[in-house]
Amino acid sequence: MHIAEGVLSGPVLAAGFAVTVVGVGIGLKKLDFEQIAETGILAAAFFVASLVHVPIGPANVHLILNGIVGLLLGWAAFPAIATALLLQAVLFQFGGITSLGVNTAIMALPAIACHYLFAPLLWKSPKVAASAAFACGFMAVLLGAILLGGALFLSDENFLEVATIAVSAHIPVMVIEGFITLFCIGFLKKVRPEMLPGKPS
Amino acid sequence: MLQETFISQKSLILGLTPRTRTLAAIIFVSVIALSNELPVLLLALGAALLLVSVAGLDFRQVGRRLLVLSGFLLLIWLILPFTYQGEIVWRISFLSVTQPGLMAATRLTLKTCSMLLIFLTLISTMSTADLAHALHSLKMPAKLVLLLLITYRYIFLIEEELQTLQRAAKVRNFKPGTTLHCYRTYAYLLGMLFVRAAERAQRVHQAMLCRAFNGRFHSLREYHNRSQDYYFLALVTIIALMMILREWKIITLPTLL
Repeated sequence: MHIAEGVLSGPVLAAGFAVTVVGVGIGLKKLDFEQIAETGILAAAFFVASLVHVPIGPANVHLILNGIVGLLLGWAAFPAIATALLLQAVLFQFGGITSLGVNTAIMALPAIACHYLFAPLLWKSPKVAASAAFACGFMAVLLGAILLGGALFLSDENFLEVATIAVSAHIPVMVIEGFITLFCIGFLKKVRPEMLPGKPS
Repeated sequence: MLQETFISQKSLILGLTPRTRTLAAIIFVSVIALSNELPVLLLALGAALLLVSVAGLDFRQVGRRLLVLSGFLLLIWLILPFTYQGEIVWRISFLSVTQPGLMAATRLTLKTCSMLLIFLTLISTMSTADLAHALHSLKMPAKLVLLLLITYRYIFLIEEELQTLQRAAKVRNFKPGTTLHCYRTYAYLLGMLFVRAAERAQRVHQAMLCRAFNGRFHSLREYHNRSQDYYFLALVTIIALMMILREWKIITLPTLL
């Protein structure tokens, strides 16, 4: 989920950078040197996990996982996602310098929103927890796709059709991310509950 | 699977410090992102191609990286010419191709390609450690630089771990398909990847404490600006200024442009 270089207009790029600078600033402030190694290595794990291609019918999609990133890292998701996107740009030329702000905001804002919405529900009754986990994966991609479409449309009203296609292409990804997040959270609950936020002691 | 294709190649560009290259890339790419005039974009593409040839990159590898953009550009060319409002140049039954639509698609293609080429020659040719230190000298916060270095350091190890897990699944006759079982398997596999990453993080953190880590990574290589760095930056600034002035229609560019 990223927008290539040279597509967006100046104001949208500037707004993206403004949001990202604030978000990364808050994330870094909450992150002390004790946690840097953990955040960096988890960011590396998410980077690698997003290389996994999951089949859907005859095609396959790669995972985004910003829902789980938000749950596990909280505000540190902002610097972690910015770092991962910079590395994607360097290693594979996905995205680039000027679109880094917008692309980070597209993935990180939904991650933070999902953290606040769904982290408190993870330790409720199994049914509630399972639906919260599914919704977390689903919503993170949905909100990201809406932001992506919005950034395109605000850059140029003639991008409406392109934006619509980009958003609808993400619908199957939302469902898959929902299931992956559901199972992954269930797995982490059994194996390493202390990695998840808000575990009742 | 993961590799840094462009690093080891020797070239004139490598004589410049990482800081110069990063700064030049930021200047170039920002100016191109804000430009819309066709002559300016042609000048940008010219500058980008010149950089690629001076850098002596393998053209086939560069072409392969440009293919990354092909899906997106195909989408743009399939949609924009038909959906823009304006003078119609071409009518195929109920579809009509408009002149502004064709122009918009052309501009987008020029912009994206030249920006990718510049990023490729100036940034992707240096190691990430050098890039991190260059960003640090350009006032990026120390914590973010550290995060970048650590993430980069562990990507390759964790990718090996992912391959191990995938191999283990394959040995147990796992075949990916559109089934809930497949998604559950992938989710557990990724969950395991995160658990191992967290455990590794604990060990790394303890090892860093043992070695009296004080929040600074030292680079083994020191870079100092030489005269060619100043010449290069001056050249980049002049080209960028020409682009800005032409964009604002203050000057006209000579010859073909």
